[in-house]
Amino acid sequence: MTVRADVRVSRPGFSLDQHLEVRAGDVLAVIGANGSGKTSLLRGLAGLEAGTSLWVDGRDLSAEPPERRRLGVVFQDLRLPPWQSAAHAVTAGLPRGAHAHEWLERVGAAHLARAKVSTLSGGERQRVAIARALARTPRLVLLDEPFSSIDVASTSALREAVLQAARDAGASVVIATHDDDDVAAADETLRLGSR
Amino acid sequence: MRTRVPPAVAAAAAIGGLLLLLPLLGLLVRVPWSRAADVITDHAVLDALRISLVCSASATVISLVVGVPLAWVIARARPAVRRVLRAVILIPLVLPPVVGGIALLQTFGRRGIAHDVLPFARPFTTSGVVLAETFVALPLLVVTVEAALRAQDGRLNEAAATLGLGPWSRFLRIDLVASRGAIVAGSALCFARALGEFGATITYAGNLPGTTQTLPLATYLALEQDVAHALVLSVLLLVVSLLVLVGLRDRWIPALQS
Repeated sequence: MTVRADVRVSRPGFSLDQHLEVRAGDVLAVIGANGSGKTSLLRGLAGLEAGTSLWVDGRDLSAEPPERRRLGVVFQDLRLPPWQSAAHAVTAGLPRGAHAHEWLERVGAAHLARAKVSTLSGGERQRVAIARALARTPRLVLLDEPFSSIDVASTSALREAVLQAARDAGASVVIATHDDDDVAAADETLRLGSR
Repeated sequence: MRTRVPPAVAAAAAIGGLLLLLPLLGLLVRVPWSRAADVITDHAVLDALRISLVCSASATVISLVVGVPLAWVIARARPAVRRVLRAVILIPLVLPPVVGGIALLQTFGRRGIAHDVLPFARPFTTSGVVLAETFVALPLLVVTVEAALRAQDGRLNEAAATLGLGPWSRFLRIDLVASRGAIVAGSALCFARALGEFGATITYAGNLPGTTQTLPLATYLALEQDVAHALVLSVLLLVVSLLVLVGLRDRWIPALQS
């Protein structure tokens, strides 16, 4: 499953025109200074910005809304509904009967299943957001600085768990990051220029 | 650190507080409590109370059904469109209620330009009272809910889209849930405004005992004939309004939480 995209985002004071390709199971690290467009690139791929063309295995998904793109997204600001439990957040949008446990366990957050999102710490929320992104067996995983609040000792194991889950699903991964270890774990790197 | 209140601010705040509190005290002090039971069990008063409660509740339900979607549309509109829509929504709020009643008569009355659009809410009927109250109270619900929806900035909605939730699911499961506090608070404000409605109601629906006479209309009428009677009715209205506030409590309005 190869992902091919032409991301075009334009707004006052900012424009991005970037071609990218990621093979199934591969990881593309997107690096660049603040304001270089890493988040905009991910938003374009997710269908949250107009003007981006996206093909998955030759199928044109450019006109598909985000809900029909089979995505797994971890936003930089996570965006977990505070009223949901961790388990509910993970299974939201999945068919009835879907289980959160396996996915929470993979990211070391099984014990948080019943905790309300609003009571979790930043790092715990980040783990839940990652579990949520993986639980829908996406074909395209978009991660925006997904390990920024995780303690240093756990980051490498968590990174490996996330990338393994993506490989298992045959998904392509695009990760926006400032972390050299994320870049080292990636198959390819894309550097965005400053504005 | 406790903030020291500047004396000028404290004085102005005290005057403001007294301005709100004193008239209520004045009312309570003068109420002939010995007559209260007789007045409240009077058939005409019970009729007016029933009409008030039923019409205010109906106006609140209608406002919820049409007001929440209206608030959503305004919150998600482009800024220029949003400004225009919000100004239009606010007109009934700043309009003298009597003018609102006249406008309703000219629109939905017998010779109104849209007299067939709402045949069930003709002037001088109980449903006409509901229409007048809805016209005046709906904006309060809309502005309250719209502010809450806009504060969310659509971020949770976007995230839900990437999870596979369609527009209708996102409206029900994200936007409505996230703004539930504002929806309840807006409904309470809407109900309270409808309960106290006078000008638009008397202009559009008249003051027919047992049909369109609400408690505020009955109170005003009583003031001309029997002041003591009017005082008891005033306290009755005050109690119903306070019940709305108590029902709200701080759990529904985050801003009231200490």
